[in-house]
Amino acid sequence: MAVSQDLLDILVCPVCKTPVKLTGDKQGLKCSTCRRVYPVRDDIPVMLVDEARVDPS
Amino acid sequence: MTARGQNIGQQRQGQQKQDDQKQMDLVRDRFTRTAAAFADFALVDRVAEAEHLLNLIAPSGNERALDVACGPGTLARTFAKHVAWIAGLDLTPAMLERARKDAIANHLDNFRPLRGNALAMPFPDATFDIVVTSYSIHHLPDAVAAIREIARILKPGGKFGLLDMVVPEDASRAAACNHIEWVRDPSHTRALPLSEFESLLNSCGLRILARGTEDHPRSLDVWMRTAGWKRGDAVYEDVRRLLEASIPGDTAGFRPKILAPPSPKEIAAASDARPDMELLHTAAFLVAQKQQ
Repeated sequence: MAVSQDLLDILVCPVCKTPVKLTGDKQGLKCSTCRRVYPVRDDIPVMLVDEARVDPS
Repeated sequence: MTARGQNIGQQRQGQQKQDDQKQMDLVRDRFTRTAAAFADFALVDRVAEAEHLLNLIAPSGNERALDVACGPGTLARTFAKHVAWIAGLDLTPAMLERARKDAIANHLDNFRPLRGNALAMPFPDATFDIVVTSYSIHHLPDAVAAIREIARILKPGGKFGLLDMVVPEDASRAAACNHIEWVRDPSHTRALPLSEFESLLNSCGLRILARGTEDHPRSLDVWMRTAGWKRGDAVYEDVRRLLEASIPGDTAGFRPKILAPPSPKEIAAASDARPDMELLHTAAFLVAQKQQ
């Protein structure tokens, strides 16, 4: 079971409200504005700022 | 703004952020520590309340819905069968894991769990047709911010269903009630009186369609157990002492009473022969619609 398309269609970064996109390895959801990557753990998106890492690129 | 004013503002913001983080940690710890006992309680004892809220909202079946601070799926599992799909947002991984297992066991394939903060939800404005929440506001650091955030993500015309405990309208009883709740569970911030919920919803552009309250008797021993405390624990004894002291004049609004003493046989079998106590919680149901 992966993250459902219903959620992928609507999820935004909780900080800047930019839509997030699934990363290539499907282990994260990335905000293209602030470059935060929110982890996906056991197919559950973790949309918490303190759990996100900031991608350098 | 002067540089000094700006500094103070930044300090305040920093302090608020720290306080919010501390509160989130308290909530996560509490609901991880008591995950099994709490989930068993919420999924069994709150079914009737969930169904009552469902009847008040009366979904048509096509809605995109959200259960905020869903815990083990207290409302989501009841609403899932009556909407297109329902997301369940919660802070605590143990709760979401239980909610997902429960959804699978009940063949609910339209439950969408995610972790998030109720005060900064990962959704655009005007996303949901229905937003519901149960027994969550009294765990949040800022009720106003929480309702404002819910109003933000609701579509115009969308419905908000709130189920929560309420405290007496009388300020002194309300404070005593909140104090006892906090002693039992430090992740309790503040429960509101019904009138304050109503004005809060109104001030956030949510027009109230239905309201009601219901009294729920609770056994003190069971209530304490769902928070992880048993007889003899310091917290149990503190709460019991406070409740007993509140009996004359019902100064904390729990309308507590000491139940019938145990039978001689039970006394002989038990190490603690004190009778249990009963207290009343008042649950409020509010359904409101976001103004067009």
